[in-house]
Amino acid sequence: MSIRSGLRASSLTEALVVYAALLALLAVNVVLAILPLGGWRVVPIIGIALLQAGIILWFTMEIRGQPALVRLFSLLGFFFVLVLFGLASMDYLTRSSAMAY
Amino acid sequence: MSAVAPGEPVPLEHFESYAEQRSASVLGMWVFLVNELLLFAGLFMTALALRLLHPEAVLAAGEHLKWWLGALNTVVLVTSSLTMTFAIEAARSFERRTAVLCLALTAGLGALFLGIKGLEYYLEYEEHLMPFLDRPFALPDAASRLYMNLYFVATGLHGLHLLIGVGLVLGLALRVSRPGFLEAKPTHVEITGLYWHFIDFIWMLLFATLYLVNR
Repeated sequence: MSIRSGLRASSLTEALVVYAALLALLAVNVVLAILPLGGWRVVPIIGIALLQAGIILWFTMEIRGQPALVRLFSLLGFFFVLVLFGLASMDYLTRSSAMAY
Repeated sequence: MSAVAPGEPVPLEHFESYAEQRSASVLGMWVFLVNELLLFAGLFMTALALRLLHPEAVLAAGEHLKWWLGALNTVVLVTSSLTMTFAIEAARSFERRTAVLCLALTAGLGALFLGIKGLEYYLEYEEHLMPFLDRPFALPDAASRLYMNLYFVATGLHGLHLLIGVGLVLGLALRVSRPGFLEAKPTHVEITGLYWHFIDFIWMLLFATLYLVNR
């Protein structure tokens, strides 16, 4: 890493685009939540939230530019989250209504 | 230790180069963040389980949450992430004043988030929505209590992380303001920034899971 000066305009532009995209997705999500659209809206709301989280990971937290080892560790984290959700959901989703407390 | 190129910060003795030291620092931070992710994942799983087992009670409680304050806080936190990104870029370019200004703005926005969250908690206290306090609870269903407890645990844990982040960023701004700090330790801002962005990342998921899905 060598000393350099001057902010990179491309990085700042990208940060502003990401910022605008996150706010636009937030607006869409809020509209989906406040309009009487029924229970199905849960799917797009969670989908948009995951998209926002993905944008933060990929661009803001710069996963895309990290070495393979860092990418592997971050992916492993999400893999174990999937294991947690998968195993726990198997229990809750297969309970009969009579068993639910 | 290999020879250090002109203009390159001096790495710690067990690293070959500063680039290697930077990679190790980023990896170490990610290992920590992955652990944090798993901590919050348990809370997200609890939210899913509560919604599956007690949909009516969760929806009844969710209607009482102040989604507009949550949305406002999301805007504040996303903006703080933008200023943190600017701080990281300024640090990489050794623009000390810009970095300090952006870090101060980031900490200020973090404090604003906590202030708005405090106002939200106060409103919920006034509406008798804090089941852990020794006062009447506004909702009849016991599962609504569970949901409100989860809401306070999740947002409280997130707020604690943000409070630590504000302290870290303020301390960092003070250190960066000293001439020579950025040149000697240019990755400190980047590593702290990762933690800050992670707080933003978690909030995006918390806001959708607690406020939006259960309206």
